[in-house]
Amino acid sequence: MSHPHLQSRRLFLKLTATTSGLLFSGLAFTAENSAIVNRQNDEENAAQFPLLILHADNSITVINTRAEMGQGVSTSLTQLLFEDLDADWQQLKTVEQGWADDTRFGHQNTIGAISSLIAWNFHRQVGAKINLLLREAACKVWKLSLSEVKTNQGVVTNLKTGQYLTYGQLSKLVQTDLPKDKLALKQPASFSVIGQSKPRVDLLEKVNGTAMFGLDVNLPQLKVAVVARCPVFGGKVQSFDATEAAKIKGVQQIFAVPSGVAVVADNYWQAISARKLLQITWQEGDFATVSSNEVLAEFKQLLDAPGKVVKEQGDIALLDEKKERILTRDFEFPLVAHMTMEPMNCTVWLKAGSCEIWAPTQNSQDAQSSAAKVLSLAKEKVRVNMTYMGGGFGRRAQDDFIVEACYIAKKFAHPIKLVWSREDDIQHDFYRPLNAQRISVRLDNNKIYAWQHKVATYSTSPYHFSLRDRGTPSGDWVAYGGADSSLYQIENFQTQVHLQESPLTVGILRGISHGYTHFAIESVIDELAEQVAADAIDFRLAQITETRAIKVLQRLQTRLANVVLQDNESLGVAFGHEKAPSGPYQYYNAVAAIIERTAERYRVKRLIVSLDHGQVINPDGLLAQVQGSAVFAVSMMFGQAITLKNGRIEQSNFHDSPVARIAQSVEVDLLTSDSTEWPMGVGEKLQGTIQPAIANALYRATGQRITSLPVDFSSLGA
Amino acid sequence: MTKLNINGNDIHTELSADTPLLWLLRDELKLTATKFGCGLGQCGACTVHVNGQAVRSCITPIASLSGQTIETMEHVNTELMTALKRQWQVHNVPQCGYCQVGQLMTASSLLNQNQQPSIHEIEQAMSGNICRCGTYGRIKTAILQTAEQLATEIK
Ligand code: FES
Ligand code: FES
Repeated sequence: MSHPHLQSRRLFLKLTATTSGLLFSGLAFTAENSAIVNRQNDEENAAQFPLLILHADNSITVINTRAEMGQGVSTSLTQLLFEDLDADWQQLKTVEQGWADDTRFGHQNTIGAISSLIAWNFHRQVGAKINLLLREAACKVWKLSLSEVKTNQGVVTNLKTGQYLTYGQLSKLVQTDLPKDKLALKQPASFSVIGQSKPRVDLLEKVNGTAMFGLDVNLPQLKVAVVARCPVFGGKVQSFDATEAAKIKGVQQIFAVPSGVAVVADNYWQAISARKLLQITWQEGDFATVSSNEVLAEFKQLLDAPGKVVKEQGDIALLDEKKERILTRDFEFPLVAHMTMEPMNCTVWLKAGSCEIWAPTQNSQDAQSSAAKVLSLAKEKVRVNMTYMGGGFGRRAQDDFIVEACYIAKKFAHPIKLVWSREDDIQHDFYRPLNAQRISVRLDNNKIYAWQHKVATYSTSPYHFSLRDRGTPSGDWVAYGGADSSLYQIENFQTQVHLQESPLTVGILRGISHGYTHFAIESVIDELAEQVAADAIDFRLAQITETRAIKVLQRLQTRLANVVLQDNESLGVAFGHEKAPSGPYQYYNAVAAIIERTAERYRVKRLIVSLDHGQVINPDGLLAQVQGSAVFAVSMMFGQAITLKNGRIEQSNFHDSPVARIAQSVEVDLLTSDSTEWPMGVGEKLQGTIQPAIANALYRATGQRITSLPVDFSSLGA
Repeated sequence: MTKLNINGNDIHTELSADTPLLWLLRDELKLTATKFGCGLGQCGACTVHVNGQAVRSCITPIASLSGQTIETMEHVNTELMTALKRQWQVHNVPQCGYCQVGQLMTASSLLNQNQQPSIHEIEQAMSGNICRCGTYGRIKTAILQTAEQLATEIK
């Protein structure tokens, strides 16, 4: 019974230990790795299940099958697995990062904060099934029936005699084929692991620096590759001269790949130094004249023309009826880059008839299919190992960097590691599309009577994160989602979109379109509340009937009653939600942002966040996600700017597309619900609420509505 | 040929003199705790200690380091670093974790020079270290508590 992942890890360890030993004995190697080596010893006695290995010493190794990019799935999903397994948290030995395998792990694409939603069923079922197998094994030993045994915290107890067997003792006897039928799961009242603030399982290695990220992968004879890509989107190499570049010591090969010119060298510095010396003539293509301010101007004009209706109810013509006040607001949002802390990278080792890949990917299964295609191999012959990732934010749902690495690896019998510079990362991203929006509203009796939302933006369909949905209308939903539904009870409602074909690679970014559609919606709602002189929360409550949403808003309102603002402080609120027409996908949140005017400028001081995203799996992990979301929102609103000029991205690094630094951190006060509904992640679901709350607070402070990003302080008089 | 002292070992390297220390560490010596984030001295992910001071290894050519004492996270085991790492764990600081070694290296350099930093001084010293996951609040708490703890231990 051999574990393929284990084999490759073992090989990896053996070889790296030798190569680094030559140079620098022992220093690169630490406890984290030796734990894996030690595991070999009791492997013969271990029982291997899809998501875990049960060792004879009663410890458990868990395989994390979904992308760990900081959001804590390694921890929270292990909690789900342990709950129905009825294991003791002390039994957890380690959580290893998994690999792409749809037959074993189900759906692995880690986007849209859906991991907990999926694992709520998948991981818990696996836990429950292994629990059943363990009870059956014990029954066999004791010659009892299932009703005569029970499990508790990693042991099976004989109810007749009080004897017990640990899971570890049963590891040699237990069947490892999971039963097909769904089992009943634990009820919330008896949860002992779910709802606990377990410390992150990857804490120690991330503090020691031993955690293996994509960029840290090391293999025998590994060479480093960089690619020179056309600065203009859609451009191609016409010709190149590598004479000077090839003179750099350590350079192995320089050759054309579909995305540009690849340089392979012994180390990154050699590769990147050689790249600077390449003489490349680009065929820049039609996009070389395009600039983002012109695109935005065009999008704004499109708002005057009728667009494609993607949602309609009631009669939108009533918008023009002479009733009460009408309000129309235009918004515009720029391109946004992900800027994950770890730039894109991928290691590929093509062997005879098979291939092994190490990639920081959110989308390992699509990566596997794409790599198989490029390498002309059967999917099963391509193993995609998931590493830790230095941030994801949606960028790593794309497989461009994996495909690129495969093209390079085709030329070599030894492994290559493709590394993107920060400049590559910023200038060849899949950006959140720039867009213009218009919301027109008519009120009747202080309630929203007619509402029209228009969105003009780039189509995301060609670059959709799922291969399956590329080029389909559903691939476009991420360009305008959020504009096409409302929890506010509106009789006459319409959504129109203008979607242009984009030569620029665009895609999903933490919060997707809701980041900008909800920004517009919640800003307008705030303005409407002000027009009718209503409290911002009361106004929202008056138009909502969904109980979970009402509770979230009321909890925030109660807390706000005790908040006393200083003279230099102002407060704004916003509400966020999504609810699928059917199924468990739904969440509700509300944010109050407090900003303060300091000597030089405005600063986001504190957020009060009330949310119901279903059952809380790990309260401290949830808080960390909210804290991180706050900082991410500040970066997007006050720093990051991505502009296009002549088909090229004008920014290149953190100095010209700044992100929030430590002085801009935000205090977070979190109010959770005691919901036992299906859990939704929170990582990406707050951008569309936090940002308009901050914008509404800025309005209170300055009297000016924020209708474009990044916030222009000069126009705010700051 | 450049001669350096890294983590207590004498290293002779044939790499070109302009090679930033970061790539000697990561690609040649396989010391991967030190990270690559920007290559421009903008993010702090590559922070190491040179003579005990926080230095951005991505913009420090190896030629400028001969005769200096270089230490990376793999080797720093001072009482201060142990205390910092403990607080980092107590406060569950890391998310993706990619920036954290750089954060810790800068924090330990700060507390080395200033045992009782104010919030403002912490913000200043740590301003060169980006965390895209937004763990800043927890980093501040962890540094403050480490300082407090070390102060009581000394008393
Ligand atoms: S990698 Fe050196 S400061 Fe960013
Ligand atoms: S923990 Fe992810 S960048 Fe800091």
